[in-house]
Amino acid sequence: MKWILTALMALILQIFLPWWSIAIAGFISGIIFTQKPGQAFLNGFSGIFALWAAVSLYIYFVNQGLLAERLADLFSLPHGLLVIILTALIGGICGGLSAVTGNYFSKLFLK
Amino acid sequence: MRTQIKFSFFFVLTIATLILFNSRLGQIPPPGKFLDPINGIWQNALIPDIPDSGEILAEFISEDIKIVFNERGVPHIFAQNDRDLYFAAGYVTAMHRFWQMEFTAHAGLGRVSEIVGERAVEFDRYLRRVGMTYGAEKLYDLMLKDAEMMTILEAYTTGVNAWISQLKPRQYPFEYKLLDYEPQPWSPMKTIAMVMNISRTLSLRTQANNLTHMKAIWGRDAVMAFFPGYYEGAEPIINSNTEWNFNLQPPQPPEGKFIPQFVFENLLEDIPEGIGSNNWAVSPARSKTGNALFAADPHQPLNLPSMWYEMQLNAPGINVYGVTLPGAPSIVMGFNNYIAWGNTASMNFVVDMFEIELDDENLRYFYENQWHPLKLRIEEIKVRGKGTITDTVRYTHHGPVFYVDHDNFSFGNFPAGHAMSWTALEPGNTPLRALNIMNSARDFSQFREGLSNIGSPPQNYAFASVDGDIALQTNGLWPLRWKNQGVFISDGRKAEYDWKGYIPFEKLPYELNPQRGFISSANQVHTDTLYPFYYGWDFATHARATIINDELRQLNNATIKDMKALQLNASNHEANKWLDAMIDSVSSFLQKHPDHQTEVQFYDIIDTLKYWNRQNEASQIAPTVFIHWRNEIRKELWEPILEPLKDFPRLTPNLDISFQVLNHKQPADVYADLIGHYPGTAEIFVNSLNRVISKLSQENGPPGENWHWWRFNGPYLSHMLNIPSLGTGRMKVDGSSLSPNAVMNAFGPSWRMVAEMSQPVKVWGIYPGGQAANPATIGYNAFTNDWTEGNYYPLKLYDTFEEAAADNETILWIKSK
Repeated sequence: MKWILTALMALILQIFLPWWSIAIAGFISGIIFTQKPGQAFLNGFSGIFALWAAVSLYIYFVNQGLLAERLADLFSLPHGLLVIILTALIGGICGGLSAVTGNYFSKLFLK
Repeated sequence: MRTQIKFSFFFVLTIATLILFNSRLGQIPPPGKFLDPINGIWQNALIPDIPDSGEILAEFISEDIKIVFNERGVPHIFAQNDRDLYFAAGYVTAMHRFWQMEFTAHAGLGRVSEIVGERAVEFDRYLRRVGMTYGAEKLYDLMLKDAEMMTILEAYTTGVNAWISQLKPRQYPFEYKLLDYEPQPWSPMKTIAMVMNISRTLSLRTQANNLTHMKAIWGRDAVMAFFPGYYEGAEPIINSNTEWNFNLQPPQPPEGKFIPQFVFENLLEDIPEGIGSNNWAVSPARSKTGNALFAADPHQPLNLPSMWYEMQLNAPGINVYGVTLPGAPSIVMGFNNYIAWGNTASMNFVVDMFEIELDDENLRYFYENQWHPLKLRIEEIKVRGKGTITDTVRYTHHGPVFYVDHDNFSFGNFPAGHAMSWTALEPGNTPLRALNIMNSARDFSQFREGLSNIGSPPQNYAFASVDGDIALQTNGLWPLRWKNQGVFISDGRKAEYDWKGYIPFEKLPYELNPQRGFISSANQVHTDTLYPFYYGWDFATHARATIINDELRQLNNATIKDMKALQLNASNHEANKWLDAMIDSVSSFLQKHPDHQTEVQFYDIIDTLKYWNRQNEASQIAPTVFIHWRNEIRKELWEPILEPLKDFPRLTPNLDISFQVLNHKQPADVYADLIGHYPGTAEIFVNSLNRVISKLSQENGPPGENWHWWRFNGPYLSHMLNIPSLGTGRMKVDGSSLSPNAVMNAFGPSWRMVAEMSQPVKVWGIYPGGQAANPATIGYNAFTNDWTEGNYYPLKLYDTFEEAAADNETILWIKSK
């Protein structure tokens, strides 16, 4: 459930702020949920991964894969769906790292 | 303590990752910013090709504007006055094409480095050195004196900027995200840049450097014989034997001889085989319905986004439909309720090259026995991520000196220590005013009056009207020349070589309703030798013109269907003219020399050629063999002449001259004088065919699908940034650079239009690409398939908004705030 809240928070932030606002969402989720650092990473990672995968997958279907195929070609990837995975991974890494940072932040300053 | 270290570690790692994913790595866009599905490139897939119906509010405009989009995304704009009309034109063009507009404008002003960084610096410097910014400023100064045109230009600019200002970063066009930069405001100067651009692509060319080098080896007479410009028996654009009643005398040629003092320089630039454009019109007497017929298909680099954007402009006093160059407010080729027009490039000389004697400090030049100061122009080039570099361009009264030396850099086929005169840099040139008049012209005299305002580029305009008039009119500044002036490098020290005015517009080649019942042009020479002025030699070969004129002569009951078929005609003129004789020559040679070595498939290939229908069809082997063969023949024929020049600028004589020489007709004597014998034609034929077969087999295996013509010549669309994944592969299209359907690699008919001048006018047209230039959506390339298949779309000029609204679903209202 924690990752869903992370995803929702990121979605709202991203409507108003540039892409790096996912790190704010990750960071906050790392602070507010009590958990181990490893779990924090997993929640942050899955939250953003899921958000970016879901939105790009939605666009993939609406767009009939046209853009994804073009991007795959641009990045020398064999299939458009891999662009979605790449997208989600990049988001996920940022989400996970910022969540761990948030987690240690709360341990350090808020205990 | 440990928590502290861990926190610091992850904090730094997180920030570093964010910075990394926010940065470009070489040509790779910033991964996080780019792939973010909520703000990045994914969002471009959600931008509709045709906007949803709705209302927007705008300042600046005085009345409501209604824009009806047809199912292909073509805007039909209905406004109540010119100011509102061009505001809307700017707004919709930006909506579909803003990235292209801005990039092209930058290319026109030598500002590409601002966008792509260091790798474009040479290109930008080259553009500055040939005077693009200088010319643009001159044009702009002229525009400022024309209040009415400035109003239009400012309205257009405001419209473009209104679109930009409502844009959120997530809606930035595809290429901005790919290159990670931001749209900048439009300005009238950027529209002027479009004009300079088109002048550059159509007219910035001269062979003077190549021919001067050849002259140094082979002498003047030989060069003149190999590059004559006019060919006996070939049809010029204007009917032969037209009488020209001029009193004007061309200038006197200089008395002394000029021996250029340049040192040989290795400045080779590949000059692609001629690719040109066609246009024609058929008189009512020769058309089935009794209405004049019209056709135009300009051939250009086939880019994505397409160079053309289709629209209709309607306001009191104007109602016109056609294609425009995104960035320019008016229709460049199109039609209204009275006339239709379209242009091909005119290949007359508009660039001359002058040898300049500079002093040691490169501050003065020697002219008429005196030293004159050079005007220094400092050009500032902003380079992305690298600050600004400056470049000094020196101007003589002729024009800019491209290079003082080549120590720093060189670009293109321009020798150091030479200046250039180019009509695009001369005053007396207001193309935007011209287009504005032509867009609402009702007859030939109004059209002609408008056209007289375009000084550059020079073109051949085909014209047809509902009154039944057909006409061919050339335009532009044609410098007055003595015979052959400008063929070679001119002496910049002497006034005799200066340009001394231009042929008056009324005296430029043109014809109205000629006897033969049609007019046409295909970039060939304009007139026969009776025309009293010399204007160049470097014209397209007669292949396309001959096919078109022969066809038009036969059509006594011409229809629109015939016009379309002729645009799509893929005939091979040289094969029609020469192939039988070539095969005969090969056969008799081999009978006489039965021991002559030939490739295994030699006789099969000869049979293939013999039974070939002489059409450059995409899925045939014969055109591949024939065109490679004639290229090889031409190469072998001229090898002895070009060999001594192999490290220097040089030029191979064209196919017309090559076949003349091979047939031992003029200028074969000149050829024989130079190398001691006539060409051994039959042997050249056999050997070159052998080599072609051997080379094709080596590279493509035995004759089969891999030899099909389209694999060698088929056109492809290439994105303006040359990114392969944003372009198309080769397409199966019939034709060749010398067929009326002149497709070759990245070139081809960039716009096809045919019209029947009935009342109302019936028009069809198509271009490869799509209205919405968004690589993320289907609209990007929506018309290309129909284009390859030779289909046309009906083009509808609506008289009223109500008519347009009845036919189409999407209506965008721009309401005055």
